[in-house]
Amino acid sequence: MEAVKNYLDRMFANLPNTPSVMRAKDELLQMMEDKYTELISEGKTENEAVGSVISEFGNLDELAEALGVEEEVMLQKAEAVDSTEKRIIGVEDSKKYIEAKFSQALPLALGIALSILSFICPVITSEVLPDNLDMVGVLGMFSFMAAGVILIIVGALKLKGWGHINDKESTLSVDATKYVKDECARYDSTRTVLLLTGIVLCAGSWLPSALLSNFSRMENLVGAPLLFIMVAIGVFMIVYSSVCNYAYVNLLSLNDKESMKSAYRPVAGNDGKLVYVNPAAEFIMGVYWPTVTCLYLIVSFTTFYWGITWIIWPLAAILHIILKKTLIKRNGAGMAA
Amino acid sequence: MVIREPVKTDPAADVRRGPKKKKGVEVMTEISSDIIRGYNDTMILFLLIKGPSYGYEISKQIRNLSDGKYIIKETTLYSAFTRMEKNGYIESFSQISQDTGKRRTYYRITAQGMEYYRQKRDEWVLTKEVIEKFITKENENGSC
Repeated sequence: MEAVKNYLDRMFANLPNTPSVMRAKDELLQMMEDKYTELISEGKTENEAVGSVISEFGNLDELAEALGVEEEVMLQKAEAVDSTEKRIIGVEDSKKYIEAKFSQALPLALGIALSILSFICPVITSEVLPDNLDMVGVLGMFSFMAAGVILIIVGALKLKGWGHINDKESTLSVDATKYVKDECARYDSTRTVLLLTGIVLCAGSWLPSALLSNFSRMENLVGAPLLFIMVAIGVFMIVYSSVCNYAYVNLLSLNDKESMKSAYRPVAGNDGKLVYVNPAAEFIMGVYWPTVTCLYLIVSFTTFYWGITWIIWPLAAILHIILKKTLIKRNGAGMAA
Repeated sequence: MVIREPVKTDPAADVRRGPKKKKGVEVMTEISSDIIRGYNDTMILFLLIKGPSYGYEISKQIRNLSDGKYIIKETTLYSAFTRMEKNGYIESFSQISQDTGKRRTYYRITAQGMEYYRQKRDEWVLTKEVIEKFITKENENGSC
């Protein structure tokens, strides 16, 4: 049955995404599946059944009128299917890529967190140990950083063999698109919680230091490490949730924006989900929080004004709201079927 | 005589499940889809008069009733459904099939569809009557 599904996917992949096209595909698949099931139950081999079903499918141009699509468009699109040599990624491959991306996210986020934590070493040793042992702290810092870098490399290795996705040399099958969208929607709540907690931790990281500022020794011994720990945990959450989210975003970005596949939504999922006005807007919103995180870390570590730099977060939040308001178009009007 | 739709650009169209003729008995005759196209609707409506049905069921009944001489293509069938639904001849509804438990789109005929069926039926009776007059029976005129 996979062969039949793939055949239909390929036939429909580049057709415009409209409710009537979706419905046609569902109905045709139903008929083909029924026929296939019966042929198999009659004792036909898999190959014979697939051959019969595909040969009796008919022609796409015959559907043009039924689908409300101009025949020229249909033919052109059908040709486009044949001319694209792109590798088609199915549900199984999508699943594997998402797994790979998730397994990259953990060491990558941990590596970055460790690098941030490394700054605790010199701070603590300078308080606890005599001055001539400052080197211990510096050594500690570098070993933390080295561990962090190794973890980041380990993470990058997890994505080996998936270059064709980053290079956009593949395209998603329709079923895979639906699968990825469903999974993405399911992950969304987890992502939001992680992202928000991460932002709150980063933005509030200066609080312990500020509260302890009256007890100067406590400030360095407890406040400063706490600051780095909170930032590290916060950054970990932001990076982890974002990298995981890219698994879905990367896969979905493989599809042609206008096609059936790209805009394919699960029928029940037409709940007014947010859609950005154009790909650029989508991209900006996608990398927004990781970019802010980077900016925050760079500014904080270069100036070391931790008591002030947290302001980046509320400012970023306000900017995010403004961007969202301007870049989003509400979906639903066209698709309400 | 086997009715076949014309082969368009579909290379896989050679593989067909029409009945294999016994060697040397008869040369396969093909019908242009122009003829059959005008009566796909009639066949579907005829089957729907007996009760609501769904895509594959109808396609199977057409094959059986025609003794396997006409196999309707999925795209042809679906196009007919949408066209007739638009014209108000049939209505679709979703229902869970009793035998398989799967949700399917069923079609039922409307009063308008009944009217259209009768119209097509009379048209065919007349067409057949007229064309028949121009058809020679084998053994009559010899060389045909």
